[in-house]
Amino acid sequence: MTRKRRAPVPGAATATAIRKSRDLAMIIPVVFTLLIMKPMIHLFGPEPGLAGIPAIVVYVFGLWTLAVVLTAWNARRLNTPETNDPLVMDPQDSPP
Amino acid sequence: MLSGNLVFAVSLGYVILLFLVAFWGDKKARTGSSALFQSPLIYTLSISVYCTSWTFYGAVGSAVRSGLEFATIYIGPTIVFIGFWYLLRKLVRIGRVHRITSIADLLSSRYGKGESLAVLVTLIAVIGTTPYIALQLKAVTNSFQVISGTVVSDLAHPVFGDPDYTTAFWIAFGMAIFTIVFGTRNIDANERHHGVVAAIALEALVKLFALLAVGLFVVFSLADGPGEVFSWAPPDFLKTEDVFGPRWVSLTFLAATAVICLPRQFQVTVVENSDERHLFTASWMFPLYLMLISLFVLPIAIAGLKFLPETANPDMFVLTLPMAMNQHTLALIAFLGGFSSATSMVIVACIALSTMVSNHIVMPLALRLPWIEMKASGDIRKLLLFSRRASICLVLLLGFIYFRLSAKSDALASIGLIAFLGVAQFLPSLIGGLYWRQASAKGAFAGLAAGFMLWLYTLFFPSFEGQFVMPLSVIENGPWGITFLQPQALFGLTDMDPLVHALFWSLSINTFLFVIVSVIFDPKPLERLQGALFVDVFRTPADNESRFIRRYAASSDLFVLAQRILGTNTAYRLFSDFAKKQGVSGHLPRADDEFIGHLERELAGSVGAATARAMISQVVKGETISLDELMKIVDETQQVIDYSRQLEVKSHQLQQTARQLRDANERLKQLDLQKDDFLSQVSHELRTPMTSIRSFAQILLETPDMTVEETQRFTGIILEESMRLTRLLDEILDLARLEGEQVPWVLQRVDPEETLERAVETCHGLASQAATEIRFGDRVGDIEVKAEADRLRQVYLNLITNAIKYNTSDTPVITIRTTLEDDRYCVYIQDNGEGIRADDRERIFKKFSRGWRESKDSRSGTGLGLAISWQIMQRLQGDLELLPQIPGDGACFRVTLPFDSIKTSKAAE
Amino acid sequence: MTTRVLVAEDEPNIVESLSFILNRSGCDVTSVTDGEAALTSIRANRPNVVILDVMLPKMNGFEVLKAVRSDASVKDIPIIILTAKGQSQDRRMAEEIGANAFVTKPFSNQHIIETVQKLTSPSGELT
Repeated sequence: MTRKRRAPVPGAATATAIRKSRDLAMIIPVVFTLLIMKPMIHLFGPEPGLAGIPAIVVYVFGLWTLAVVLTAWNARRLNTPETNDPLVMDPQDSPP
Repeated sequence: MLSGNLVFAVSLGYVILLFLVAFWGDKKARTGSSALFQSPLIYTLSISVYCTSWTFYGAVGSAVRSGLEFATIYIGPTIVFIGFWYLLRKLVRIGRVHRITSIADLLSSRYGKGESLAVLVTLIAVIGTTPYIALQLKAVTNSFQVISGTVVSDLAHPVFGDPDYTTAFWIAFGMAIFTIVFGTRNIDANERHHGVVAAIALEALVKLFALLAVGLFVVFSLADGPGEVFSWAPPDFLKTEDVFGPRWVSLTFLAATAVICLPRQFQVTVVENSDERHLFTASWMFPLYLMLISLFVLPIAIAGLKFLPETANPDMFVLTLPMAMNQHTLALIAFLGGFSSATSMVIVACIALSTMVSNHIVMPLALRLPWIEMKASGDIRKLLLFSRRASICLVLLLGFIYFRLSAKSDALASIGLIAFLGVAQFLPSLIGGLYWRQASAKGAFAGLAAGFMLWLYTLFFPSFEGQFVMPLSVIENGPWGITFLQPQALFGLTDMDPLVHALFWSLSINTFLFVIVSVIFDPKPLERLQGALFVDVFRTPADNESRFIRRYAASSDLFVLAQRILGTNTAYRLFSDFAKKQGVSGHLPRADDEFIGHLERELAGSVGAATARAMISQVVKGETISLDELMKIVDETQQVIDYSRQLEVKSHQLQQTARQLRDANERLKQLDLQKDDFLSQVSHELRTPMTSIRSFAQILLETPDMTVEETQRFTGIILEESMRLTRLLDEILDLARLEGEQVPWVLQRVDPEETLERAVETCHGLASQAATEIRFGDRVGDIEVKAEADRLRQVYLNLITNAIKYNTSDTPVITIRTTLEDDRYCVYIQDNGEGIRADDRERIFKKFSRGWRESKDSRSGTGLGLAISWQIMQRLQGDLELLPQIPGDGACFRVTLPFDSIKTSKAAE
Repeated sequence: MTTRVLVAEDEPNIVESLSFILNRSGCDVTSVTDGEAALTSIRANRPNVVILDVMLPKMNGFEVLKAVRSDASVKDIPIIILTAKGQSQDRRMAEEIGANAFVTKPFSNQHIIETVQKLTSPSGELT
């Protein structure tokens, strides 16, 4: 989210975008955890996967890299002045 | 082999570099140009203190022994950081808002600022960390010996000689100096250790660089790419069949817990955090760091197995592999990497532990000792600094002693995970404290104490294999031979990995007691307050505290206290700033609740929440926590949440209500229009006969020469019109009564056929006058309905007279027939006139709407008859309808009434 | 010359009273009971003055008035609007369409006669 696109007032569009990012920030670790555990991780074994590297190693490090890239991308979107504004982040939780 | 002198010189040079960097960092921070040290990159690198020599050397060893299992230690923290939104964000916010100095301070502050909890947490932290520090000392000493060849020249047995305790001692000494110089420069948590952080960041880069260098050397110099390296791997090297079991989950969980609960991690992540936004960067950059650190672990392990003798210690592969390949520079870099990982861990751990020991053990004791009389400015500050420095020395000394005592045993090898589980005992109280208001100090204490005991019993003591506290016989057979209490198979839980076993028992009992005791013993008011402030940290500012705690103190007393801790200058600045904020002239602010709360938080940033509170309590009088207020407002946030949920529901309801209101308003407007219309029609209807009456009355008055016939005729018209007027008024009143009546009519059994015949009889005169024939068609016969006879007759009369009056046929005939249809009694009244025009059919039951344009006698209609009849039929629970026009036929009205079913059979006979 | 008055009114008693008083003041009265008949009669007989009830069957008084005012051959005939409603909006509407006078029921006989006389006198318009 760029500065230009952001509304001067924490507008609905910004709030929605930030809330989406927030949801993503909460989903990524859960999905990562599920994928790095059994039974998913058990689908891969020591057989060569990519360029002679065992499939399981490719899987673990690939997943790791993906999680890092996704989090980096999402953290950039999330890192806005409005992010910690409770009115934007938790409109349903904020005092009226 | 490298010469010991060279290695020593390089190490010394490196240490000097670290000192310079730290010094430079501190200086930059003091002159205000600390932008670099407050950057997210430095923050992330400082968090990398997670990777100790245990990582640097041990990960490869672990990979040799258990394949991929080593990765769990880095995957756990990865989950915590990519999931920073859940926990770290809140932790960092709380740390900043409440000026938290350590994890002990956090738990103590959350659970009512009590001292005993802080002492317990400190104790666990020290016991858990001391062996860990010893491990670092051992790693540095070993690596020093290995690289300088002081042990043996044979690479096969590099580490099994006597460790060089002298080297170890001087390493510990050097670290103590460094930590004291840069770690205890100031005591306020908010004036962060920029110098230390800078040095740690540099070390983080060095260790990553070193490990990557060794890894790249292995993959691209020893082998021709990763494919070849993995082709060297012994069969089942990765152990993919066994590694993903309970240990995989447990280790991931433990590592995730450790990156939150380890005192040094808490120090760099929460206490040293200068900007919450840095977390956004660390959330991905730290996992990236961990991933890169792990990337070459497997290749190095495989290469070590291939190129080094079987007896070589896998825990030293990172160092011995370059040495075996005669890569001396690379070996030196690897040595510096290991040195960096060990020293950075020791330095940060010492700072964290010394803060805890001095704030939670030394200070409370010192304040209680009557012979320590301190009244001078900054005296407490001096005491604190002294106790910090002493604590650092003490912790390092403990580590050294531990190393000295257990250096030959293998116990150190697993101490990393043992320490992880030790500090993992903080987790239930920490998570509970952050998300559960009911969590109480008693619960936290019970859980922590029990978890700690179980950890000692099931993991820590057994790890010494009989050499410390717990004899081997107890480990193998249980105390007094009771196998049921066997430390590594507690309560008969056998066949379990010792770590998973200890994890299961300590954390489950810990959590269980924490929850149960919290539920049974309600939190005290201050715990409740702190609980609300912590759980709702994103909604409640910390100064909310002052709303609930009523305290009185003399500003001068507070100032004396503040300057004893903060020093005169800082205290003076603090007080005059607040005075300015309050708009008070002079330098002493009003000692109101808000200021006392503010001061307590400032002091807590130096001495921890418990001590700060204890000290403030010595000065203030009449401290009361307004319980009512507290209960009211603590639940306020909850209420706000509930309220806003309700609001959401309500706003939906409101929308509906608004729509209903709009509809109602529309209806009202319509009704209002109808009312206006009605009044205007009434006016019109009344004015018409009045016009004739007035006009003829005037004529009679003003025309003296009138003939008798004319006089009679005009008088007749006046009479007729006045009767019309009366009838009109009667009907308007009748209709108004019908429409306005709320009480339902009491209906009686009526024979509608008889009523109909009487109505027809009444109309005979009018009918014969108009030469109209009234015929009866089919009849129902004997029947009873519930109705009101007079009203029903009124309807019949109205319909029949209408049929007579407005029948334009030359041979007017009215046909009346009655039937039973379904459950209804129906009366059809039909004329043979020209019917009612299509565009009038809709409104003939409305007031003043005559459906007939032509009539034989236009004078007698009021336009209300059908409206009245329709109303009557509604009140009788029946209906009055105009049937669809059949061409050639006249108008046909149908009156329907529900009939009494009891009589039906009789009627059918 | 006798003043010819057309009375368009569907209440027979009112027609009768109007005829009586106007006859006695020397007018020649013709009456119709609906709007269409009124318009036909105005075009055919060109009366000197028309007394036009608003609530007429088939075509109401305003429609008749509008038709008269837009018919060049009869548009100058003075028209008195007679209404039982007497609300100000009726009066305003009547004036807008071009009624020369507006009389509410019940009326004073004297007032009707004066109005007819004023509208037929050479000085013309009623104020």
